[in-house]
Amino acid sequence: MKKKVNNTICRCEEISEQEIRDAIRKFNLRTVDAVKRLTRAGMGLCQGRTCTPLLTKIIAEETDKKVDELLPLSKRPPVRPVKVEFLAREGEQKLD
Amino acid sequence: MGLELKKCDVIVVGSGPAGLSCSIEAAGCGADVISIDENGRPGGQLFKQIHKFFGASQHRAGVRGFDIGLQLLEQVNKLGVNTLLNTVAYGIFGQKTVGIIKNEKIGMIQGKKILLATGAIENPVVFSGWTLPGVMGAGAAQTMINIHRVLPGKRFIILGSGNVGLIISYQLLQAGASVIAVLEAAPRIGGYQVHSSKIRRVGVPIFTSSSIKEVKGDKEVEEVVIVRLDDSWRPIKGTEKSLTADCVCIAGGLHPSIELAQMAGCDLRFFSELGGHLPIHNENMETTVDGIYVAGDTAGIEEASTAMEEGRLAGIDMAQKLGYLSQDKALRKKEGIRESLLALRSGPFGCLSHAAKSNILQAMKTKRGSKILF
Amino acid sequence: MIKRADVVVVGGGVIGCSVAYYLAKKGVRVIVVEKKEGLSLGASGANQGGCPLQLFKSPVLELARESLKLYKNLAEEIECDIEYENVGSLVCSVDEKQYPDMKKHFQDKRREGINVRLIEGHQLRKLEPTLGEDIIVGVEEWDSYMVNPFKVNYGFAYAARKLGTEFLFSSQVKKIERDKERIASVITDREKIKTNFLVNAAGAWASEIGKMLGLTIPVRARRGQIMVTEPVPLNKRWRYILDADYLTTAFDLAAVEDSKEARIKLGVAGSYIQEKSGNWTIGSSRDFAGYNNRVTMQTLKYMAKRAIKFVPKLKDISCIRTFAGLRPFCYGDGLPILSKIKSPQNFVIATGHAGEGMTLAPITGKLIAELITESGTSLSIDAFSFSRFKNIN
Repeated sequence: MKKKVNNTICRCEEISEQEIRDAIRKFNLRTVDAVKRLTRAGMGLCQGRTCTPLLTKIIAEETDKKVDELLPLSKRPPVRPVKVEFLAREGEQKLD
Repeated sequence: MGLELKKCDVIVVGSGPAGLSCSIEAAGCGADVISIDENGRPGGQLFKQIHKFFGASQHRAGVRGFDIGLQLLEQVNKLGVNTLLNTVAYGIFGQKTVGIIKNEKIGMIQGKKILLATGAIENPVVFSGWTLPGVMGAGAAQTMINIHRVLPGKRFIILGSGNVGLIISYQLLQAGASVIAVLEAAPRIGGYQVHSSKIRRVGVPIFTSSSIKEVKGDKEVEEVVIVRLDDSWRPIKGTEKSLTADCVCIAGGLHPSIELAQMAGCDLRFFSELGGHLPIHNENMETTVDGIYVAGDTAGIEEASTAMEEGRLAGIDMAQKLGYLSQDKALRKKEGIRESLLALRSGPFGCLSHAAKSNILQAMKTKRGSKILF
Repeated sequence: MIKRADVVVVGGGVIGCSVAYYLAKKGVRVIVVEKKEGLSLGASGANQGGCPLQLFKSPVLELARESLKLYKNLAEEIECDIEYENVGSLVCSVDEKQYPDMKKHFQDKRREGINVRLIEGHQLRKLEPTLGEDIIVGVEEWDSYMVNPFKVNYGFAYAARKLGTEFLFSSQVKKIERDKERIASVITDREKIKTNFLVNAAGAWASEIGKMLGLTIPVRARRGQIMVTEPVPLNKRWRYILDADYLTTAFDLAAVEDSKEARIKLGVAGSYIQEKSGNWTIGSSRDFAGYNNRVTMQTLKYMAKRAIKFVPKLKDISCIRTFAGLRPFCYGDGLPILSKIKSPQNFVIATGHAGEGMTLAPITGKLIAELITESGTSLSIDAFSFSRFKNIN
């Protein structure tokens, strides 16, 4: 049963299911992080908030890994987009 | 350090039912609490819950989520908890420091204890056309109709018959929309019967062993092709049926929002009954990182009622460890909450959560979680 | 289980995978041992992918030149689009006092045969209006490239695997067994591998492998932090902009450590690359923090501040991600170590590339393969010999 439909998986970076499957097969990828790095899926503005469960499922289908063994994407600040200008500022006390 | 720090006893990230309950307990004992929420108003998902809660009266059955939210807010305000709204906690750093942004200002808060109660994220479901405008998460639709009072469509198809899918169905009906069908991939309905009979009564069909094959439309949703599934959840050829609709709500469940916990270095483990990977925690909701707690959906997808109790447990434990509450008093309070949690986690759904939560405690003892370091 | 290999390569970074590929090309049976579950999990996966020719001095310059030549046809050779792209580079200064240094840099590079051009600040802004008002002078050159680091790393591995190389993941070297003057086998927490050669391409962890053989490999983990922005339209002329301070922070450890300025002490100097996708990566920083590879707000603050000075439009763009990596820095002299050693005779070191591993990966792989299989190398690697640390061992 061949899948003909090629759905978009990562909406931020517009990465298709086929691109992801191809990369997993070609590069022998076995982690969600590796899939992100090779395909850009999960690399966009939302940083994989939406597509991580989808990537996990695809990897589990393509490899001998089970969904529960696949750790979510590693997380680094910022968890939401932050203007570079804000990061450049000195800490400000009055926040309320 | 050039970065200026604001210091406090307890930082609560996320002011939903879990976060607010933790703030109330900790501040009620005298701790200096700062609570943060990225939204313009606290309460999390509570204000979207215009329906009444079920269960026993001590768990506020018969009260609407909306009103529970108001009650919690009133208490928080009375206790003088410093609540920072429209504030994004963008990162968690060493020495229990949380980086925040509010009104284009950046800051750092350092706490002695931190509660991460950042809630959950909706699971996506992929089918041809899932990116078309008109396809949305059930939670998003709920926010639009119950908070912003905007109806995103006229004819809805709901994918998923868990409680979220069922509740959104009748809330859409109340808001004046038509619900064409509720689809469920499993052979039986996922949510409570109280909810399902309510929507069946008004004539909304619930198709089990069914899913969406394709959503068609030029620029937005116009047509939804549904299909029956076999025992292994594969589409059965020839069973396709086309329905006219302009909106599809995906109620494919939730998974814990654990970004900050991951960043803090908390050990994670996968619990399918609780929505996926989550930070393992002890009976006081403390994670593998000393002083960092989780509660509510972040600690495993459950309900607002359990989230509040978990938040309270965390708040009491923090207060005790910070010296604001005697061990005796804390113990008594915790015991009461654990009993209440036990009651909440009985029944066909609750017992699954209960079993999974027990496994978390077991994992905590053996620390078999997997740590993600960055 | 006992495995056999001609060469065991420790480390699945870009150096290890390049070495494996060039060896496999010569018909050598290679096993790559990687302690983590995947490739590119050290410095190779935490850099900006820039190959900046004008930053190099002899003897590394010769390596860089050859490496860039190898890069030219690499995509075809390894059947992987590594996104190799000529973006040139612009080194510029925002400090009046640096003007003579910039002039000297320009003259030095000319002498070394690099086609550089000195451009005054106002002229720079005419050519690229996105550059900051504070920039007084810049030196441009068009022989610099950028690549997609992940694709290079995984591409080498893909090509090596096709040629028979085996990759062992989640497999950490625990012990190295010797038979007199030679290494006999490598023992990991999962397997024992009998081998004729052992290549230490463990990057920032290379000294740990050395310790197992009683050797001091003078390499330490030097942390580098990077931020990534959302995509924006591409700059017209320069997409690779460097701060003149980079010449100090990257190549002059003493000056960094003696500096009175907090920013320099954290090794912060601008390195701004706009990827084909439109995302900017903002670097760079250099500090020693053991094996801690977390980002720090203090360093990010200096990096962001500096970035706005050079490319002011960055201030309104959102940072969507940050990361840090551990680079193998040779505290002996800052140069790579590409070398056999006296004893054990079949131990080869290929590390110490600091922030230049991505640029130098192809040539390193080629030369190490020659070092193992031939009597000499096509390019002299005497300057990178381990024997230069006689006083350490």
